[in-house]
Amino acid sequence: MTSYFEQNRTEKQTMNTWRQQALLESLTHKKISEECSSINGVIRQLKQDYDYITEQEVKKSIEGLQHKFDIHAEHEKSRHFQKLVADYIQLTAPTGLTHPTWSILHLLIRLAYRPTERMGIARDGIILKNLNIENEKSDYKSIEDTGNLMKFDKEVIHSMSDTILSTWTDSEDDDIEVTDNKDVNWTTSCVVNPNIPLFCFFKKPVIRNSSLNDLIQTRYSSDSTSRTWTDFQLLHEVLWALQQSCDSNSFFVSAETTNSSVQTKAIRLVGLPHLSLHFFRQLLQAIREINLFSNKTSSQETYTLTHQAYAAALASIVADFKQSVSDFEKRVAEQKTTLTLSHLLLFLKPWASTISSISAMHKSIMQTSSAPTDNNTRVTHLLSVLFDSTQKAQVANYSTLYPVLLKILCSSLEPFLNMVDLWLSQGQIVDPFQEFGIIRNEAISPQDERFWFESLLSRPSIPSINFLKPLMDDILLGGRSVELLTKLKREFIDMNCVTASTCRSKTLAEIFRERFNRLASSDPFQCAVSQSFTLSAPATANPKQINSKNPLLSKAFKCLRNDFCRNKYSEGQETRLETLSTPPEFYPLLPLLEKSLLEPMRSRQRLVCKALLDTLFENCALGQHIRTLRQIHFMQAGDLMGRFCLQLFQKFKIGDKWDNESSLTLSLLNCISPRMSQSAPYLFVNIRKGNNQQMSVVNLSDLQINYKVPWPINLVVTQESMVLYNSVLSFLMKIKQAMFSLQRLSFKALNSMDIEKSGRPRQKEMLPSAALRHRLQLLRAWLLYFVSSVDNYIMECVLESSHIRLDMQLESAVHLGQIIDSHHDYVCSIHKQCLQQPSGAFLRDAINEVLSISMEVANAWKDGIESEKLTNLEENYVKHHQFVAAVLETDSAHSMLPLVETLAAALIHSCPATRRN
Amino acid sequence: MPSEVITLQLGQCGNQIGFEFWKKLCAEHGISSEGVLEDFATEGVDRKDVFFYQADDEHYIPRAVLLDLEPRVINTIMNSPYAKLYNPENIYLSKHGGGAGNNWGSGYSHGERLFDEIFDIIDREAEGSENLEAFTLCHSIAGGTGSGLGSYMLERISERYPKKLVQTYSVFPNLAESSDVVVQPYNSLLTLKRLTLNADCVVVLDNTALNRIATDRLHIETPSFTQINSLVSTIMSASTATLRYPSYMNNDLIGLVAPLIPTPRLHFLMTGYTPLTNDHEETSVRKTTVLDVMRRLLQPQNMMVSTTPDRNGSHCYTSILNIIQGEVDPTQIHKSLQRIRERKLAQFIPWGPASIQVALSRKSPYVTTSHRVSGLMLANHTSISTLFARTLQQFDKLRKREAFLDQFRKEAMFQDSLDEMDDSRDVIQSLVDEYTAATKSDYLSWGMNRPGALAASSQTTA
Repeated sequence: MTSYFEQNRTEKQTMNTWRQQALLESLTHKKISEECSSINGVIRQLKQDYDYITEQEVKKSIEGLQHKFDIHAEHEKSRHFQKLVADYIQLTAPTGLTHPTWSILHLLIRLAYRPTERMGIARDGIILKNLNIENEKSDYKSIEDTGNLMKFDKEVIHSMSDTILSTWTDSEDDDIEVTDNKDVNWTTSCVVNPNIPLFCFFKKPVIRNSSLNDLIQTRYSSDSTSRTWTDFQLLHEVLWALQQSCDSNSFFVSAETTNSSVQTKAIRLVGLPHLSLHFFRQLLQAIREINLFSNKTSSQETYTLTHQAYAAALASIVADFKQSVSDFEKRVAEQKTTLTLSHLLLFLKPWASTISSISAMHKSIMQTSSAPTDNNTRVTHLLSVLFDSTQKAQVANYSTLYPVLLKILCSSLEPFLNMVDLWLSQGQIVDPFQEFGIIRNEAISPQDERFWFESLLSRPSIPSINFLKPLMDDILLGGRSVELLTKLKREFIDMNCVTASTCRSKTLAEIFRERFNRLASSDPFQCAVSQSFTLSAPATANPKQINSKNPLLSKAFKCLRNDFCRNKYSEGQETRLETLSTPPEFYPLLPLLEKSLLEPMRSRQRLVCKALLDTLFENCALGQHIRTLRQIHFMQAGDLMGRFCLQLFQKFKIGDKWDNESSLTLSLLNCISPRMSQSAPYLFVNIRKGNNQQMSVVNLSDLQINYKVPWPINLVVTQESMVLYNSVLSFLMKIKQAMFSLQRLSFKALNSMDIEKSGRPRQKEMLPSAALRHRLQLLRAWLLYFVSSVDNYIMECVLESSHIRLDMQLESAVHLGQIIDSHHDYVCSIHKQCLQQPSGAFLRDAINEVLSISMEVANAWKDGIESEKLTNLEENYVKHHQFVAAVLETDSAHSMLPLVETLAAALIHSCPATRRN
Repeated sequence: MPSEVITLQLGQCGNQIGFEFWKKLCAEHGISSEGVLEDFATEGVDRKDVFFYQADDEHYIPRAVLLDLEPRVINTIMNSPYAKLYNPENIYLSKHGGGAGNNWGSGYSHGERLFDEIFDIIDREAEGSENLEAFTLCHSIAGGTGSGLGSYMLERISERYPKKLVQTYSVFPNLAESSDVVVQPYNSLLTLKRLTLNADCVVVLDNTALNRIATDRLHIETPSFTQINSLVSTIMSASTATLRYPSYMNNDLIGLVAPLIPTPRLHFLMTGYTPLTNDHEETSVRKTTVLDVMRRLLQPQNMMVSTTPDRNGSHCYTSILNIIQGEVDPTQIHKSLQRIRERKLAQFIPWGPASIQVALSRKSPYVTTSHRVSGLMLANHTSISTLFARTLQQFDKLRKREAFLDQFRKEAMFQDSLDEMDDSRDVIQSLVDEYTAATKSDYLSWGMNRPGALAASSQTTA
């Protein structure tokens, strides 16, 4: 070994300055200026960087190093190293151990400490030696130290490289025979080991062509000595290699290094069954892939948040793997029990299957992820595949793979949960990668009445994640509610209390994690035993349910449970040390997710929806507005609206100009002032222009009472429903007009009629007045009966019962959508039952006919009527009455108009018959 | 914009039932005996302004005019806790204080003398209301003041306010026991003529029936006036409930009354009320349903008019309005009507619309009752003519003997002749005839040369 270095010394010296600088830069990660290239400068630089080192740390490092030797059974070296350190300390004893001395010691040790850097220290050793020759006497010893270390390291390198390049031939013996078979086996190298220390690459241009690399290469390829290793040693090396492969950084670097072949070495393990080789290769290949993905996602921003979270979860699984490998290594080092490669294989087996499953799953995820589809599809695919595999794993492999997948699933869900959380607490969708299936339609502002139903676009053709399906409605509901709430908050200052209750301290993801962990970690069987946890552990509910349902099943379940417990506790501490705590394997996945995910989400959504409803009802007086519309447009305030109608009809009657919008508005406001003055600002009357404006019954339909519905009430009371309100109103007004006119016909006026008319020339054509009056009175009675019955039906069976129903629905509504729907149904059903839809047009026309007959009778009351005309009216009335009665008797009318039986019965049971004489 | 109603209380009986009526209204609207709104009633959505108006100090004053020719009843009122309720200017007591002496003629001529003073009050009240709809007159037809002065008032009001509805609550004398007023038949007949010709709607309160109901239903052996009057006030308040608690329908008196009265003279209405409870004993709490209430209302023993049993069974309802108070689902009404129709519980006229109309009304939130549902029936029934026929009989008995006519002859109206009495008799006779005619299907052609096109339906029951 020594001769090897001596041969190359001259060559090294030529590169000395270069290397000095390179080494320093790599050590300190700083640009080294020219002046620092002297040894003093180096020391100064080192001093700066290693100044913070404490004595304890160094001592700890030394101990660690010795321990490492012991692990590798290099007791001789350990002893030697101990001596060197002691000598070094002795050397500096007169002056006392100063801080810089410790620092230098630390530097030296640090260079040699990590197995990864051992090879590096070999090379650095040369440099340091060269450096040390120049001055610094006190360091001389340490150079020797490093020399020794270097020697040791070279041996390590040697042995390692031998191992790597060797084939294990003897399977029977504990001894390992290493033969150089490199050329043949290179292609089948199974372990990719990029364990060239990091700092070698920091200055690639400097080192790339260095003879060192060539040297190593030559060394590896030329060395043909075969070595026989013990199982123990090999175990160490394998473990070490495994650990290295988990170190994602080295992969990252090696992937970018051009001359990667330099660092690629291979291990051939002779004697182990071929399967195990394969096994290692697969395992490492899988890990490598996963690592590659993790690195890519962390470095590239094109990956969605979910992908990033997924990658992080994968990385943490790899970290767990590494941790458990190092735990195993520790146990090997302790040497309390005999651990062989076979043990390692056993130990790795579950891990291998887990990792290969993950890798398989990962592949299927990446298949679509790489395809140029939109992010939402990719995320959906990711979560779906994840969920499906988790569900499968629960059935097939519940003890090892399932918890791991569960963990990944939970982590991957986190970005989604965070987005939902933000939406549900602040009403904003933050989705930079467009990965979630919710898109806010920015064209529709919360002020828009379409807001509730059209503000959110669901992405087209989303194969939505099946377990999130029941959730989406809740999320959408909650999100819209919050958006409205936050908007409302700006409008109402005293809203703080409401939002305070909705913005809770914990985020949704936190709650989810907490709940999930509680569910997952709470030992379901312990809970089953101690009944006190029944509330907090839904897991207990499950066994119980089974117990109650099926005695056989419950027995089987009990056995299983006992087995499980025994296994668990016999394995004892070790099992407990597993980072993945024992999950409730027997608890079905979907309920588990529901318990931990749906419930908090639902409760959040409920809270938000309730807050919104409370705000709408309390601060925006939603109920008040609906009531006002009912009182005015549906004439629930019969007295006030009756008054308005009477005034209007009076104007008709005396032929006043009535179509003055402002005077009508004034009159309306005046009429409603006794009880509803608070609604006055919203109301105004307008008359639809374009139709002829003569005074007649028909003309009433042009009159509209508009209601300026304020935001956010317009979400419920839309413009569309206002049209319906008004069309019902005009129908009601027609009925009222006829009814009021008939009611107000006074018999006294009729008596005085013929006195007035007695002087008129047409007297002769008239019937004897008493008889005529009598007939007119009876016709009026019939008409009044008809109109009152219709009015009665509409007021009680249509309006009042609808309004009772609506009130109940409003009371029981849990979110705004229900209220919007209820109100819409309410208005539509009234509109339909008031025959305002085309399907009821023939009935409406018949009723309108009767109403106009009523108006004619009212006029006749005032002006007198000829016998012929009266007969006409009578016949006309009878015809229409019979028609309406006949129609109402039919089943179709019953199905169209609920509760119409009362009206039908009233009209059928007393139906006038025409009698011809 | 209320449709106000002015209440005129005439004579001893009129003032007593009026007093009970206002007591009841105050309780239902949460107004104290001094006219101040109680604290619990400030949020009410009821219409107090139909029967009350507010003084400058916001306290409520009834739209009531109290008239009497003798001070006894009015003094009782003025000594009661409700003394401060009324507007003192609206209380008119005849200055000589001698009363009408149970003489219709005396009451009538008092009216002529006091016209200016009385109509001062009435005009002031009428002008004080924004949109006066009706006058309600409370009186009895047997005495002197209620009948005589009442008749005079009816004539003058219908002249002076031809467009206003005139409704009366007329107490008919108890015919079961002998009255101390011997000229009762004369008084009744003369008043009935005015009720027929000058009133738009007469709610007949028959003392005979009221006493019967008090003894039979409320188990009071000797009912006092107060107890009888409380029955009357219950009916009066229930019949105005839809005006005072506005809802979809029947928000004005005329809308309530018009469908009940097909022809001008058939405007005498019977009433029935259920369930009746005694203030003193809450004997049994019954389960009240709409059907139950509506069926009970059709039972003759609940009618507040005692009609002689109908031998031919020809008498029938012209129209019925049921005012149902309480929390009622409209669908229940429909079912009840269906049942009543199926069982043919009510016999209707053969010539006109035959159906029970139902008006739903809220109950006062301030008066607790043990019943969920209560109902008032206002019915136009032809059998009411038996009441008039009875009066005619009694009148004829006296008239034949020319008994007790001296008192009347002292009055200006009867000084020359007793034609007024005979005229009144003719009017009532023709009224009875019309009621009888109304039971027949040819009522359409009654008094007509040629029948019209309207004919009866085949169905006569509803």
